[in-house]
Amino acid sequence: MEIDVWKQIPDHIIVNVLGYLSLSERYHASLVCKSWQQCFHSQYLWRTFEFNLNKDNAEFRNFADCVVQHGRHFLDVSIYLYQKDAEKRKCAVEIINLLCKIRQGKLRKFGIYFTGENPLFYAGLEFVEALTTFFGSIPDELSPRHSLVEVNLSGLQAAFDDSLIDELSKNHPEIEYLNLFNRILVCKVTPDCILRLVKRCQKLRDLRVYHTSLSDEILETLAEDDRSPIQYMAIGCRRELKYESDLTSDAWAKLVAKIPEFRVSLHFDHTVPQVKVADVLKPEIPLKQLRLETFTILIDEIKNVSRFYCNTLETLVLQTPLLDLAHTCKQLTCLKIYCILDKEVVQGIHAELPQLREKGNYILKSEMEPEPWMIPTRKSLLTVQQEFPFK
Amino acid sequence: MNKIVPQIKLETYEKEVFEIDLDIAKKFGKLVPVLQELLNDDKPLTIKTINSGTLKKIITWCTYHKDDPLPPEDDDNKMKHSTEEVSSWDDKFLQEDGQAALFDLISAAHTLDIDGLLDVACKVVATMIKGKAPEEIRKVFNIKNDFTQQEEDQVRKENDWCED
Repeated sequence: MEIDVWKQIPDHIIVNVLGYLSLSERYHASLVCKSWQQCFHSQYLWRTFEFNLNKDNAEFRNFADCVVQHGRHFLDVSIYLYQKDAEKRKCAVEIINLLCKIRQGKLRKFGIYFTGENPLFYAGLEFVEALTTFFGSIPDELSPRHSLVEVNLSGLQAAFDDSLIDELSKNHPEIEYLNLFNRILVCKVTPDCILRLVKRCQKLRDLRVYHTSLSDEILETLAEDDRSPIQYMAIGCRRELKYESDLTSDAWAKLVAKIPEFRVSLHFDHTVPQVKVADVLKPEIPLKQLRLETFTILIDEIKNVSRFYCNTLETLVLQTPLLDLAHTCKQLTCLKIYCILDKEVVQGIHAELPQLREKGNYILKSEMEPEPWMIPTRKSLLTVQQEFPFK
Repeated sequence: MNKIVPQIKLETYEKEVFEIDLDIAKKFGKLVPVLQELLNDDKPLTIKTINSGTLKKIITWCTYHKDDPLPPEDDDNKMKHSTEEVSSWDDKFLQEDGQAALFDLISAAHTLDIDGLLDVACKVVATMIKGKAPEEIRKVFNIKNDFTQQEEDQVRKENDWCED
């Protein structure tokens, strides 16, 4: 009787099920019956493929064959790599090299994510090199290659350079999403290179880069007519700020005037010199998310945040001051913070101050809720500050 | 305080009529274009391919997941959905009534176009396949091997590159 149950399930659902299996599991499933065998060969099964090169995964030696066999169906490829393992690194580079050779490929989205810590002195140069070749590759002289649309290198802890990004922008004019926000210490991508990118890639709607790669000229180019309006920009601010000139109020204002729905996210890390924070926080920025993970006292800056960004701000992360506060002020029984916090911060505060839960006199949110708490108002931020000065 | 919640009516294979809150019905992708009509209409919509037990399960599932947050759009490190594990509640809920019920649920989720439920149910089926040899898979799902020996050898040869 249950055989009939299976017959009713349409093939594409079987394909969906097989999609959650690893390569060797898919192989075993393909031997079950004829209809599963057909599903194994369905192009839909291979549209999205995750190369799992994580620490605990031993099944990767056949990934190269997988690219050769099914690579032409790939639309969306991600590589998850435990980069401490040299053999797995080699395999990941080989995958990228094989992606270069796919004729009439349809690949639209590409992402690579390291899942461990970099080995000492490892700068990921082999990946920068392989990706530079990949972005510039022309597998078939006769038919033009498909442009990539989304490229996410945020998990690739390697030092990117101009030639990598130039190959991308030269050969992939359809890029809409580019994430270079990879949280390593060095970023060598220059503003000139990003300027070439925004000039070549007119459809760019989401760009995530370091402040050091930006300039007024880039903002001005994004404000030009005849291009798809940019929607979102995430900017990482680090120690390099010391040596840079800021983006000017004027350039921000022009861009916002042109694209009112444009939003920005700013991330400050602990290497940012404190004096620079206030310089970067220009009132004209349409700030939606602000992460001040600086380990410094920022009362004036937060006052400005509530003044400048009351119409746009949705997420505010004040990593250290609040945790410090929770750590030192053990008498605290009432803590009300009306803006959205990182889950870890909320958990940290609860761990430090178990009495908050007992008394139930707190407001700590890690998820957005409908009004009235959606947009932190000046008043709510001042409440935090007046009741509990960060000292 | 009693608020009147707008409801729509669905009739199952057994001709049982269910009243479903609009919030829940919105999760049924197939019904979204006709929701307004259904709200105004007192006559239930009949879905012959779904039985009462299955519809009850669907309503329970949708109610439980009603307030799930949408994945944030501008997350900076967007990881893939498929790497997420099935929650233990979902796992238990989907498997507790046996395989036949699970496949009814999958068919119904497909018919009504409930993405979240379909995906999580497919994941559960995938976990039932994981780590098993072809013969074991056939046994678990009661599937007949319709390959001839010759065909099976051929398929093995074609796909053996992915054997580890």
